[in-house]
Amino acid sequence: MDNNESYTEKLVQYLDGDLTGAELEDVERQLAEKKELQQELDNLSLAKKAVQSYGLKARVASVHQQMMQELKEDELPAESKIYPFIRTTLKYAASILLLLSLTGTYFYLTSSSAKLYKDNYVPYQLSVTRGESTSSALEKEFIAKNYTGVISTFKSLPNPTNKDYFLVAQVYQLTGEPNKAIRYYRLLSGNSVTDNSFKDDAEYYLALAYLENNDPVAAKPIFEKIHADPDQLYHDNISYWTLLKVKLLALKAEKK
Amino acid sequence: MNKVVAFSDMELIETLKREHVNDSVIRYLYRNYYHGLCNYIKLNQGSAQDAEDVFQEVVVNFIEIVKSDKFRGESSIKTFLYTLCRFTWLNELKRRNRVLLREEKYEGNRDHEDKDVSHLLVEREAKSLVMAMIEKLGDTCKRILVAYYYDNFTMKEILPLVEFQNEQVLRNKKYKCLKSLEQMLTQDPELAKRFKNALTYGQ
Repeated sequence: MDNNESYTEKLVQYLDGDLTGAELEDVERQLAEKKELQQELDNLSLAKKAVQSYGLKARVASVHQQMMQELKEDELPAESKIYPFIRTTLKYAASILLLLSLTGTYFYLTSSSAKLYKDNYVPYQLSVTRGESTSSALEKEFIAKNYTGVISTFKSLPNPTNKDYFLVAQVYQLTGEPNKAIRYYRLLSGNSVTDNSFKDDAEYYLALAYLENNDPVAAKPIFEKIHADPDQLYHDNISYWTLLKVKLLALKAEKK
Repeated sequence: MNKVVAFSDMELIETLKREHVNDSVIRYLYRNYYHGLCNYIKLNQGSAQDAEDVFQEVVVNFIEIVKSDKFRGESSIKTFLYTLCRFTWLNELKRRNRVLLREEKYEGNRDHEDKDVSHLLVEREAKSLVMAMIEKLGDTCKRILVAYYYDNFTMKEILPLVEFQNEQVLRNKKYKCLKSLEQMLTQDPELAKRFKNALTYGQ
């Protein structure tokens, strides 16, 4: 170690505050006398400050890592606070969806065309005007619920009217012969018919006859048509739920 | 999680001036100002990583500015940090040579406070170069010098942190490490001058 180097060591000790007494006085005197020593001390002091700055930077970098983790963790609950309404709504929506699917599944498994037919079928009431004496023989048999008489009278008619066709179809439907009822209802509800009397009635009862005949696939488009047409005479008879049940029955029948 | 400590502006400044920088002060700065300043960076062409880097640099500069008595308290800490952040980020954009016309306009219209802060950050690059010099000293030198000059550990406390036979050997090593850094600065007097200017924050 030469003299210069050994004096540099003294300067470092001076910088660190390690010198006392005669050693301290000697260094202070040398610094006052020699500019190059003062320059060296300045550079050593600058090096010390650089280390302190580096130390602070390293310390902040270390805390930075911890804080980034903490701040990112804090972001999650903050986000969940922003959307409590959406979360609650979704929760309720999920519950309702579950309830609907359970109800749907229950209905899908337990329902039948026969049951739906029974729930919706209302026998046709032939209107009788007081004092009216123009009722045909077939109508009189129908009002008297003489179903055999209706059929035989119908067969004897040379030119049956739409009313005659409809009433005999009603009788077949009431007596458990839906295939025959369907044939007459289709005749009345078809697009080729020029006389539209009993058309709406025939359409509605045709759909019911299909259900009675355990054919919900054929019944479905007729129910949909009546449900979609507010001018149809039986529009109010087809609720959304009735339509939904018909659709489920059709789906069930198609899967078989 | 670390204990959350809250400071008023005055308490924070006094704590920084008086004490060795405590981690709770740094954490307080992050908890209270990181998101706001981070958004500024992200809204001005910066990535999330840019925001992290700039905020780290802002915190270091802020602490050094306060410690060197250059924070005059004419604005709130929040406003001051925001201004530091803007300048640090604009400097970084300049360095990357992709400054937009908008910045030129900003530079021309900046207010009085901005001008006050700008002179505090003029030697950003010099500071960065000197930090790179310290990296060249190697891990052992860095550990000894930082423990001694930043953490204010005694030689006795540092000895278990490094593999040296005794305190005298450690003392010699510390001397050599500091001398190496001093020589690097001596060899580049212009950089040393700029760095000195950077550390004194325009004094």
